[in-house]
Amino acid sequence: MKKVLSMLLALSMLLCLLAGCGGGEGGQSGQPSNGGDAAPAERTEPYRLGVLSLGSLTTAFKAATLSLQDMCDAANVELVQVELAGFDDQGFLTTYENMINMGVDGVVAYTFSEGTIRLLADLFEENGVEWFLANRQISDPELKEYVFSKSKFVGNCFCDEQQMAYNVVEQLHKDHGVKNLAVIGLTQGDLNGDLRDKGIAAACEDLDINLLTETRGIATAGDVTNAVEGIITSYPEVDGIFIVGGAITTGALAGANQSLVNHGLSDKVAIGMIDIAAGMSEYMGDGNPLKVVAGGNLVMDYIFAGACMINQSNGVNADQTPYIVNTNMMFVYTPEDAVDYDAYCENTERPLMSGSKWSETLLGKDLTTIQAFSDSFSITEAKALNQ
Amino acid sequence: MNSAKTSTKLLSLLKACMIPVALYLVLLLLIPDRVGNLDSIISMLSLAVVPTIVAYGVHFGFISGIMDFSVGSRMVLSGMCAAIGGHYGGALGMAAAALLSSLLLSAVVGGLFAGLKIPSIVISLGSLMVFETGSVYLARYCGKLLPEISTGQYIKAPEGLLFLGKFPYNIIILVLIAVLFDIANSRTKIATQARVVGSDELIARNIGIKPMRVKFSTYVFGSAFLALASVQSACYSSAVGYSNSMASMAMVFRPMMAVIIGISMSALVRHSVGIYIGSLCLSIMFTGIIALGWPDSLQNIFLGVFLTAVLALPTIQRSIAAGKRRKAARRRFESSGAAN
Repeated sequence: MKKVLSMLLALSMLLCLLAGCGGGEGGQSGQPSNGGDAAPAERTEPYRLGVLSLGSLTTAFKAATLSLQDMCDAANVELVQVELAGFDDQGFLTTYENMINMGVDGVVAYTFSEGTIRLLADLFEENGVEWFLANRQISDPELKEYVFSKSKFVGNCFCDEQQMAYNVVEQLHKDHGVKNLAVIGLTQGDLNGDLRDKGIAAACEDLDINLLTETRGIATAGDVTNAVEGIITSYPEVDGIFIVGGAITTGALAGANQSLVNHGLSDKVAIGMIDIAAGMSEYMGDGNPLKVVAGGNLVMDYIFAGACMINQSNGVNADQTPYIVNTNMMFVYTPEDAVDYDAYCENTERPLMSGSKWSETLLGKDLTTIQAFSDSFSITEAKALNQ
Repeated sequence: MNSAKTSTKLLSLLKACMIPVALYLVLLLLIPDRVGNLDSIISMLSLAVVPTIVAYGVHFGFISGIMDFSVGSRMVLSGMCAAIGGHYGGALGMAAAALLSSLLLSAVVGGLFAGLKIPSIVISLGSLMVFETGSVYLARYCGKLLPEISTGQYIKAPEGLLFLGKFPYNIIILVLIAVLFDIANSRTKIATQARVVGSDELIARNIGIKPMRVKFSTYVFGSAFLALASVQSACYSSAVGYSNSMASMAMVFRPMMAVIIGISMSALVRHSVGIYIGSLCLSIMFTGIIALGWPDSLQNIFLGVFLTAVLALPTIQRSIAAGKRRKAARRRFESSGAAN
């Protein structure tokens, strides 16, 4: 009896597997089976744009998604947000598979590591879903060539992380006299983290800065305090600390500041940081250690990627795919800049600009206009647009 | 007799202390200008404080056979509650909020474990995810309701109490907590029963001990120390940030290693001292890796090698002792054979 039941169970599972995997081509709503060359058919339903829902990770993602939602509403596009299935490569893949199963027409793709990008390229190509890679620069030339050869790949927007890290170190050195730098870095293997490390190393070599030590794998504010404590006591000559991923550790600034305060070094050690962190204005200004913060590109990368996909759905710039849009980080130096940034660039209650402004700035615009907007975008610009 | 006992104890303590001293001496040989100063020594002693107190909290569950990865997430939540409590009620408010929240969270996890009879590691992973999400929402709501102490990502500890995280106050607090732990570990029924359950659950059941009740009690008993650890951690770093993506799981690894080292040293010193020695060794290694300027990836390699070496030490000692006994026995046999 048990044998019979086991066989029945195995058979039913096999049938389910075959039924699930045997989906017909073009079975997704609005999806041609190989729509690379065919002209886009007239759309009867709104274009469905899939994005990761990462609002629980940082306010940056929440603010980006809010602005993206606003832009999609203005363009009559349905934004489909899907919660990330896991923070590893498999989690990202599963999430995008879920999006495809939900019948999205296009995807704004984001991933932590470069290893997933090839798999994503194949996944979207096989399923006939257009996609745009946001906030990630492909450093491997072979991989880049492979991805850019895919017919469903619309484009890539990213900030030159290596150059931004170089700029932060340069400013710490030129404006604040940093000669001995310690780094609190991201876990190795993070794509942006690795690029930033290269930028730091290059800056230290060019500017003759002594790179004292690095520490990684930080999980809590206490870990940052421990790390800074270890750095200060082992390297009394340290005059600069670079926190490579401020958004990764909530409370990183508070932890670092506390250690400096404990040793009376708040005005002797300059902190530079990439990624905007909440409450950073408190640690800036006279007598406080935080001198330079670069970030904000994550919000803009999402927005630009969304705009490009909406344009793609309307055939705008479709003859130039795949293309690249370069974004820049915004630099924050003063508490006033920090307050303005929080209010206008990363506001989780209010989108970056009003519905009509999207059409004036990004939607339906050619690549030159989009790139010019990116190049000129700043905190001041965001403030003006919001008002 | 008493003086012989005291000198034996002192000798054992010295033997146990040799490990962190030896580690420090190695660093001193390699980089004397970086670690050969009082600031560095104080830093190493201070870095070991919070993991030690966490280890005290983890200890009771560990010896009864529980693997609990939700410790970090519970510490984060109770740390946040402590920061809020401290804002309204000063030191007493901070301690009370931490204790109550830690007790509640531990009771939930312990109750699920004892009631559902699911393996502790499974319960702990599930609880960890729930509590981490809770910490995210708590930080967000505090950011809206209490903007003066929270940014929405972390909650600040009361400024007037931050001195508790600094030297020498943190060491004084550690000593007091160590005494408390020592009393709890050696004179309470829960600790004794936890050891019995941990060594053989069947025997424990046969002599009338209810293993599940004991394991539940270890969750609750250990929560007091975790509450104290969360207060100490909040005062040390001045803020408690929310945790996600199972990042809080890493908070328990060092304390767990310290517990293992403390247990392996139980022949030499009391658990309270052994755990601190274990934690101190780990903090010396952590500081040493930074001071040497080595890549961070080497830290984990050294931690793993160090843990293996410390755990292998009693086995090696027993093997050497057994070898010596066999040698002595062989010599006696040979000499008695020659005499015949």
